[in-house]
Amino acid sequence: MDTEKDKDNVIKLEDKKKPKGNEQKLDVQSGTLGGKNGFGGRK
Amino acid sequence: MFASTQFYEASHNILKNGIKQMLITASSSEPGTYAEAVASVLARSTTITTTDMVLSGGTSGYTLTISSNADIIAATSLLSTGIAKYICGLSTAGDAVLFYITTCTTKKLASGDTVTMPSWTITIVEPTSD
Repeated sequence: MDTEKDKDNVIKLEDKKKPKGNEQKLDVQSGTLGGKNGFGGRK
Repeated sequence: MFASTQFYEASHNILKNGIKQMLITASSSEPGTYAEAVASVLARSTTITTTDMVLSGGTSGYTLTISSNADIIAATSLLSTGIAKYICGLSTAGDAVLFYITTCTTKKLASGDTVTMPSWTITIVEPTSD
């Protein structure tokens, strides 16, 4: 490492490697059993 | 036609008392067994308790509401990346029962992502004539 500037550049590159990720909202399908739909089995 | 409160409650309590974990699984195929669900898991909730599922009744049937509270949505540490499609309600590993499957928004979960899920319901409606 030659200069202080080089050290800064190394730190910045390492930060970029870290995955930040996103918040993913998953809406879940509600279900109804019985009535005309019947019970059980796979659709 | 009529179904008793005991019938609705007993049916829902199978799920309410039996489901101990929710899994978000990949879109490759709908799991048919506990082992298949675990094999395609993308994220897993913390331990679910009976307070995470609330049973309510009315004149047209009974509904089990699965909470969006912190215990449920804490499926934040991805075990694998991929495209989420199914939500699976499972017993403990020891009992290895796959109780319930539904679908969710088909969405790619990438490294570092966190997951939130609003509350959702399972309803048993009153009997009707065929």
